[in-house]
Amino acid sequence: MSSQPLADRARAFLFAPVDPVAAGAFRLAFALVLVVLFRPRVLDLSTSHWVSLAAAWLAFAAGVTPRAAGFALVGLLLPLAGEPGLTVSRQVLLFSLLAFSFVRSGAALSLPGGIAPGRPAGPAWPIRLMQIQLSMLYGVNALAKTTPHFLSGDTLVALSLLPNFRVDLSGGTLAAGGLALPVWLLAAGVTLVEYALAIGWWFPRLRPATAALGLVFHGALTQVVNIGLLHVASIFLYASFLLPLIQSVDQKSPPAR
Amino acid sequence: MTGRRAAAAPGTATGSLAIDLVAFGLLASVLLVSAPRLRVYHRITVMDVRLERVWPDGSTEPVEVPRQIGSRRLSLLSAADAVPELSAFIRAYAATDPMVRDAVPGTRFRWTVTYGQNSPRLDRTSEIVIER
Repeated sequence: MSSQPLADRARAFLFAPVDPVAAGAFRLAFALVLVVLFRPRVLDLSTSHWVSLAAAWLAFAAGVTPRAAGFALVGLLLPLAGEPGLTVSRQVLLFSLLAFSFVRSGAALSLPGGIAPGRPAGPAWPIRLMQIQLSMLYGVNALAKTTPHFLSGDTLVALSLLPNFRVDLSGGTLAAGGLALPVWLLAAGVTLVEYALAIGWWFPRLRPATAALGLVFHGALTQVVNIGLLHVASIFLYASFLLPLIQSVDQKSPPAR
Repeated sequence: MTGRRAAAAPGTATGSLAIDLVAFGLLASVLLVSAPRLRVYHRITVMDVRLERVWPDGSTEPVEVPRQIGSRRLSLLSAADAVPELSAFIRAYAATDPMVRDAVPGTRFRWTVTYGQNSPRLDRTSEIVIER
């Protein structure tokens, strides 16, 4: 495998086929997550905007022209992207929706009237973009925290003054399960976990462990700070690695007889 | 070509390999450019604001910090950005504040901002003086 020319590996990375059934399942989950993340304030939109949004969402969820519906949803949801407290999670999901709209996700798990069943769902690169985004989400935050101030715990102590922090770290410790964790250990641990979540996904054998780590991390984080719905957006994107969305190019079908 | 063969030799998303590559490149660029916006919490500037009136004869008197400004402020910007932003806000506020407008000529209003970057220790000071 290591002797495989770089161009072939790049081609396999970007143009391996997407599994139609997994793409259909991902589309259905995506439609639900869009409701969770964008439902608040959606009724504040004008009636025509709201009706267009509902029509596009229905077409996307049902897999009837899901690509056109996906692109339309991106445009229609864009005005809601700047909602205070939800900016990052909505930015993440809108970018993912833009990428996913290139996938022919209507080839399976869709209502009749869309793409003919059995048609290929397209190449992997839109899924790769979502995967890269998930890595960047953790990687950017881990890098930003890799500073002496943050790792010493000082920044976390100051941050805990913010109203959306649920713990008081002013004493330099966090009380957890009868233990008093030093804040520096908490800061270093958070940073290390974010690096692990940025990198671990790219090693197929580590994916279950990475997913478990991510769930524990987000579960613990909800006890410390309110970061809006970023937990939902992040954990949803785990599915881009966990579902068998991308087929191996080595798994060639037997030639048709 | 059967569906199985098509899956083994996948096509493109747009019908053209070149357009696919351009679309991937463009979206990847958007991702890179917008990456800094993905940061959540990693820095904070804690600021404490005090206000003093300095009469023309040099005597001073503490004044309550207006509610709009607040004596304790938290910003997710670095101190290099947060303190000038607060200073601009204070200047804009003072420009229309009746307390400044109606003050005796020669009176000064001394705003003292003590702040700490990434720490609750307020070990740095910035001063803004507004003269009537």
